[in-house]
Amino acid sequence: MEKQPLLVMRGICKNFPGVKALDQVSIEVFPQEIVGLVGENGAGKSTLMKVLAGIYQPDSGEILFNGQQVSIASPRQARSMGIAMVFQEQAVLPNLTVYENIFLGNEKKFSNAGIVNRERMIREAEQLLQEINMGISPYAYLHELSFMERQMVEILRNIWLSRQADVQNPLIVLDEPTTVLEEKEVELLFTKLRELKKHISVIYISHRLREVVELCDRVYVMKDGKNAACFSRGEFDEDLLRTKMVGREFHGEYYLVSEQRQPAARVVLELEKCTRRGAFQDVSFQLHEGEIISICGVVGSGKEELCLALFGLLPLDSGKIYLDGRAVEISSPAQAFALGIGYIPEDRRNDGLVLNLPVYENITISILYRLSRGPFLNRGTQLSLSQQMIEKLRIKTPSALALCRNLSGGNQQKVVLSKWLLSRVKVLIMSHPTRGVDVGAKHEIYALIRELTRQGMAIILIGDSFEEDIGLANRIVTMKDGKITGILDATTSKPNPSELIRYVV
Amino acid sequence: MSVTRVEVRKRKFGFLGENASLIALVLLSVFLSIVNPRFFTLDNLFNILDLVSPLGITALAMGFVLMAGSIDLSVEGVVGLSGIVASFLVKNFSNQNDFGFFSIFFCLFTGLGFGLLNGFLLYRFKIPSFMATLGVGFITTGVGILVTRGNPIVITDWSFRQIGMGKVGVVPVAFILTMGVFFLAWFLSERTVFGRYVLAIGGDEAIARDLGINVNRVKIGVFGLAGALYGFAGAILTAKLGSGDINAPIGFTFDSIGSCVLGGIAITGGMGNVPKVLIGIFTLTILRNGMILMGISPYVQQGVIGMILIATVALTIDRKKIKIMK
Repeated sequence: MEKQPLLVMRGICKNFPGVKALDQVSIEVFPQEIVGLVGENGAGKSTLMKVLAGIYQPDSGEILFNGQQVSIASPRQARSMGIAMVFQEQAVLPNLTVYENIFLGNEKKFSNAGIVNRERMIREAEQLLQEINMGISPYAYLHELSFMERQMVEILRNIWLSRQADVQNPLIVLDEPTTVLEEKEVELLFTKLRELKKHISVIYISHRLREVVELCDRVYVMKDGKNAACFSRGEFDEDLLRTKMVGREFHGEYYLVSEQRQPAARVVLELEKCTRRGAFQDVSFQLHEGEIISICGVVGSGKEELCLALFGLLPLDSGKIYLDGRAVEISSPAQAFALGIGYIPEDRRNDGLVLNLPVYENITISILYRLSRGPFLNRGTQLSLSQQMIEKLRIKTPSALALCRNLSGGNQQKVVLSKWLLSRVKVLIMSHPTRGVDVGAKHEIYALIRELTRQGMAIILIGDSFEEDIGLANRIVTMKDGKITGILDATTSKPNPSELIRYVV
Repeated sequence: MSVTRVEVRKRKFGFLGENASLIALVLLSVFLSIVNPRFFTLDNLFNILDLVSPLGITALAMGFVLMAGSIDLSVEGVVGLSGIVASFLVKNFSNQNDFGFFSIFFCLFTGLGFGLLNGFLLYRFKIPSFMATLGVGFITTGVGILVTRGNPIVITDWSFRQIGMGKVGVVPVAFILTMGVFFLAWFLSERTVFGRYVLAIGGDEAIARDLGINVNRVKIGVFGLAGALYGFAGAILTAKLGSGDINAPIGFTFDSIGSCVLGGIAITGGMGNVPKVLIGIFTLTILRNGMILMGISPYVQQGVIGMILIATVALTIDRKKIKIMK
């Protein structure tokens, strides 16, 4: 007998002024199933999920949940029906305990005249935690837990909520759940999700296609607000998904390997036995002009701290840094910049851009000294230079005067890159330059990174995935527990990820 | 990166971190006992207990407001005005009233009313709590000066004065009342839905709202509760001083916030509990008392306390929660 679908969304349309965000989109989710949902940014994934969660109302189309036609008016109503979203920005309170978080907003079930029966809450939380086999104490504060454990608390809350409403198989939408997780944690999350399948169905949204291939029973691909494809397990792989998402073929050229250049012989930066206690020890390597070195390692390997130290954000305990053969000391970002070292932080929204300033100010902010006459700025030059960069990098912005906060993630990253293109630094450190950026924009960022090296800039990269590190780098420095475990050549032949992983874990 | 951050925080709140304020209080007391033999005497102990109220009650009120992530600068005005209400209602030199202890209810209602006004302004006009409460503080101070023409209203009700001056055996009545209020507040904070929602809102208002918590109602409740506590403090203050005086509670705002900070209540909201307020008020009181015993000039005392507060905040504040320093 054919199983009845848990959720059917059929012919969903949603228009925003000037945009057809969803055009006749249909998906089905069966009980105890993990369904992937992939697509470029702007393909309509989030809009579809917001319709499902009751944040948006569809213009047309129907939604069936447990075989019954429903209209979902609000996130609250969605939750009470057993449909819940778990976002990347977590909806848990770090200052409260696990059990308080699970039942927050629903203490009435445990209280009498406003007085809470804590013991009953704790017992019930313990039961829930046991059921999914999580070794977390209900008394633990959320700030003590890892990101993934906090996700589990959120999922538990939703399972509990739907049970209160007598829904046996809730549907949980996970939006980019692995972005900040390390490989090991991702594995753990997947194990848990597979166990949880007994109780729940999952819609899994991710840019990381490898994970989708590994985890999902079926996958829907969306493109330009429409269904682009739907595959069952075994029918799809990463390349196929990528092709369907962008609608054009992606071959090995994804990382523009043909544009990779042989670095010059001249050493720009040299590290000699650099050590920072508790972070990294005896790190030595040379970086050549026009070279890209990727630093690979898991969280705690010291790679992030190393980059921060190179930009003067963390002091070294011992070791030497040579720039152009001269020993230098880098004790502040301003000094690093003066020496010709640039840094693109992972969190560009906070550290890399002034969101409330217009695009042109952001592009020229670090070269103002070159554009000014005495204390006076030359706004004309600022604007014309910015305009050049906007055209060259194809930054999608209404004008150079638009505020950066109104740009999409990929375009913000391009603004950051253009700033460094203009600054003529010798060494550029990039931490996760494509994080949160959609596939198309990623490709353009790769092209820009290639362009930077053609200008002779040397780059130290912490990529968002092994594939990215391998694809872009001339050499790969692997780190584990603060020490270098290997320096692999990636210019002539590319190592494969499974080879790499042996060096880092 | 964020994963490492979590691990760092885990270490930050160890046993020592959780109990830092209590340890500081014990060390301070030990230090003062050593340098001054008069500190560790029964006389001085009861002296300290006497000093703990009514400031302890306003500190408690401030504790709830801070835990909810707001701040209340109307303390002095509301305490002063409530105290004046009390002085007008009990036997006094200015009118013929004689409501006795019943006037405490009027104080509570006065405080509650202005507290609710604070909460209402916050919710209805979406203005920051420091601005709304600063305004209400000025309004109440102004009203207090108007109705008294700036002069203290001297009271003659000796039985009423017992709540400020009286003793049960050797223990001050005001201290017993204060401890009673602390106990009720502790229960309210730990065991009721309202108490937990205060912390949830202080932790992250947006998330709390998403989870279906009626944030506005809880906030108005917090300010109402704080106001009522100020009212009670006003009554005790008047009973203690023997007059209703708008100038009497000057310094209460600073000391209330200071007690909370010293006790370990996060000024960024979401962290704290009632016992910590108690530790804080004792720390501040003992610090003052110790400096007086050591003969330090009152002006220097203020400076020392100011520096200690800044240092405490600088050491403990969770800067991640403050998006922009202003």
